[in-house]
Amino acid sequence: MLKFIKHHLTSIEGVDLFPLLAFVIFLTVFIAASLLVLTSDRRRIKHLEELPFSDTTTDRTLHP
Amino acid sequence: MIERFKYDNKIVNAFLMATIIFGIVGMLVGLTAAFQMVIPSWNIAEWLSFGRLRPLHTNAVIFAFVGNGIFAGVYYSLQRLAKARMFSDLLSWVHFWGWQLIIVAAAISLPLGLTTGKEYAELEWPIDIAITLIWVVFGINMFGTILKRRERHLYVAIWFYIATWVTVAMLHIVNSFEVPVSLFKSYSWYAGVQDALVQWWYGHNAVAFFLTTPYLGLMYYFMPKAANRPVYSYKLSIIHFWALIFIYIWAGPHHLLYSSLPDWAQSLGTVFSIMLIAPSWGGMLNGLLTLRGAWDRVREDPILKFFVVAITCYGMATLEGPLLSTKFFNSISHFTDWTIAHVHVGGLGWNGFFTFGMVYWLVPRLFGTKLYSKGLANAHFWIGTLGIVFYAVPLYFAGFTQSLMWKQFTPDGYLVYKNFLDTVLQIKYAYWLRGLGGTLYLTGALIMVYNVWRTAAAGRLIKDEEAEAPALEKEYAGESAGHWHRWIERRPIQMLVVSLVLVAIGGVFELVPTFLIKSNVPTIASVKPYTPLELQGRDIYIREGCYTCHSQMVRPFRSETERYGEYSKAGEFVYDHPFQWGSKRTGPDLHRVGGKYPDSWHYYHMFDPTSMSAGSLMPAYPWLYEKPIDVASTPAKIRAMQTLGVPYPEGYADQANTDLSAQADAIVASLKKDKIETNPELEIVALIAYLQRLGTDIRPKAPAQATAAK
Repeated sequence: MLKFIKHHLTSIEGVDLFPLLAFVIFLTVFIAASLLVLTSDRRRIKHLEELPFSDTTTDRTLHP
Repeated sequence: MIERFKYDNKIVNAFLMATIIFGIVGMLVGLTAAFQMVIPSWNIAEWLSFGRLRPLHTNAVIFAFVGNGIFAGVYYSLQRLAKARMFSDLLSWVHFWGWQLIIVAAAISLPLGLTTGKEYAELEWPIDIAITLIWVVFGINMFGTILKRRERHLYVAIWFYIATWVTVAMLHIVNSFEVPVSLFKSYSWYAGVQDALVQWWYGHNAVAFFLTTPYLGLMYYFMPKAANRPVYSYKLSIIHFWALIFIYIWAGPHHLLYSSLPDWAQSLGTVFSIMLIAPSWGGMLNGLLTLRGAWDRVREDPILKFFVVAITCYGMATLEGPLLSTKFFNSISHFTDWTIAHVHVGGLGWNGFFTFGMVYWLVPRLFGTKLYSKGLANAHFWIGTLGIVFYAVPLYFAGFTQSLMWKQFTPDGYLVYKNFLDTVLQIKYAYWLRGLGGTLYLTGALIMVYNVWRTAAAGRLIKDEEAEAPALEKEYAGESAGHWHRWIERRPIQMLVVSLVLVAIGGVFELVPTFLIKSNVPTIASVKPYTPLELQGRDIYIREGCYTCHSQMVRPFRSETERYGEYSKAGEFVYDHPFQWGSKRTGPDLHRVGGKYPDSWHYYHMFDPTSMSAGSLMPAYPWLYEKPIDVASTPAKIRAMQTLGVPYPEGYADQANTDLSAQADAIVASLKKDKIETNPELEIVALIAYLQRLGTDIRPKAPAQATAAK
C-alpha cells in the first residue's frame, strides 16, 4: 500500500516542499493573529465588544 | 448629522418562519427514514424509499433549516451591527424566494431519484447553478449593506459572515464541476480518488462553513444580547476567527482514513483536525464564559438554556471530531452509527438548539410583544435535550458494538460474525431508541411552533423598525497612531480577499498534488471502463441512493479483507464518475460483491431482500422489475464519459446499445438457467450487470460468469 502511494508522490517534482510550506504558512498565520491581538488597543477592543449593544433603535422597549 | 432609517424586520421574519417550517419538514423526513431502518415496510413507494429520503433529510436540515436560520440571523444582526437597512429590499426578496424555490426543487427532485450521488451535494446541475446565483445575490446584498454602514468597525460576527460567504462559494463551485448528460443528469468532473478528495474537502467544509462559522457569528451576536453582557474576550474571538477559518479547510481528508487516498493526504487531514481542537474550544469557552456572573439567569431563561446546551454540544462535537480523525478511533468508528451519533450531537445540539434559542429571542422582538409561554419554552428545552440524549447514546453503543463485531475473530482466525446481518440485528434496538429520541426532539419543536404562533398572534409584526445613527464621515483621518490591523478591520473587501486566500491555501495544498498525480496514477491495466449496461446499472445504483447504506471501499484490515476480499486500490476507481465509496455501512461493503453470488441471487434479493437474507432491513425494489432501461440515454452518457476522458473507442456512443442488449441477453440467459423468466429490457438486469462487475477488474482470472460480457 505504502509503496504504491510513494510511487506517485515521489513522481511529483519537489513534493517534499509541500509539508514544509504548509507548516510555515500555518505558523505565519498563527503568529500574525497572536501579534495582532497582543498589540491591540484596549479602547478599541472595548468599543468593538460593545457594538451589539449600540443598535440605535429608537424604540427602547424592544431592546431593554 | 443624525440619520433616520428603518431596519427591515419583514425579511428577518420571512426567513425565520421558513426556518421553522423547513425545520419541521426536515426532521419529519429524518424521523421517517429512521423508522424505515427498523420497519422496512415503511419504504412504501419508489420515491419514499430510504435511499432517496436520506438525501432529502440531510439537504432539508442543512440547507433549508440551518440555511434559512443563518439568513434570518444574519439579516437581523448585520443591519444592527452596520447600523443600516439591508442594501436592497429587492435583493433581499430575490434571495428569500430564490432560496425557497431551490428548496422546493430539491424536495421534488431528490424523491424522484435525480441526484449526483455525492453526499450533501446531491442536487443536480440546474439547481447547482441556481444556488450559485442566489448565493451571489446574498453576497451583493450583504456587502452592499456593509459598504453603506454607519459604524466604521466591523464586529467579529460580520467577519464570520464574510468568511462563510466566500468559502461556501468556493466549495460549492469547485465541487459542482460536472458534465451534463441531460437536463436532470450529470456526471462529476472528477473520478475515483480525486472525486472522493474533492467531495470530502467540500463535505467537511460544508460542515465547517455552513453549519459552524455562520453559527459562530450568530453566537457572537445573540449570546451577548441574550446574556446582556459583552462577549467574554473580544481578543480571543479574533484569534478564534483566524485560526478556525485557516485550519478548518485542511481537515477534509480525515473522512477518508484507510481509504485509497494517498497516505500523506490522510496524515495532513489528521494533523490539522487535531490542531482544530484549539480554536474550536477557544470559541466554545468564549461563548460559555460570556455568561460570567450571569449563570443564575440560566435557571430562569429558556433562551440561555438553549444557548448553553448548544455551545456545549459544539464543544463535545469538536472534541470528538478530532479524536475520530485519528487513525485509531477512525478504524473503529468509521462506517458505523458512531458517525451518525457524532453529527447529530452537532446537528440537533449545536445548530438545532442555537436556532431554537434564536427563535425564542427574535419572535417577541419582531412582533413587539412577550413570549406567549415561558413554561412551554422550558418544556421544549427539556424534551429536546432528552431527545438528543436518546438519539445519540444508543447510536454510540450501536457503533461501538457493531464495529467490534465486525472485527472479532475466532481463535482459529475466522470471523465470528461471518454474516454481516448478524451485526445489524444486534443493534436494531438502538435504531428503535434513536427513533424515540427523534420523536421527542420533533415533539419539542412542535411545541415551539405553537408557542411562536401564539406569540405572533398576540403582537403585530414590526415590519420596519425605526432607528437613528450618525452618518459616517466620508474622510476619516483615523486615530493618528493607527493600528496595522485596521487595514483589514474596517475594510470588508480586504477581509473578503484575505479570508479567501487563507481558505484557498488549504484547498490548493490538498487538491493540487492529488491532481498532479492524475497523469501517473498507476492505472491498473486490467481496469476497463464500464460496459454500457453496467453504466446504466450504475446510474440506477446512484439513483436509488445505495451509497447511503453500502460502501465501496474495502479498507486494508484483515477483518475486512477476510470478509469482503482484496482491499480497494486507487487505480480501480479511475472511471468512477462520481465515486461511490459511501460513508456508512448499514449493509455490507459492495466493492468486491461482483461474482460473489449468482445473478439469480441478486434477482430475488432486490425484489425481496428477506427472501435471500432472513431478517434483512433492506428495502425492496419492485419497481426495477417494471421499468425499462432508459436506452435512449446511452449514447449521451457514453459521450459525456468520453468528454471526461474515459477511453471508449471513437464513435462507440452509437453502437453502445448493441453491446448493451447483448450483455442483457446474456444475463437473462443465466437467469433462465435458474428458472427465472425475465425481460432483458428491465432495469434489474442493468443493476445486476453493475453489481456483478464491481471489484472484479483486478481479479487474476475472472470467475466464469455469464455476465462478464467483455
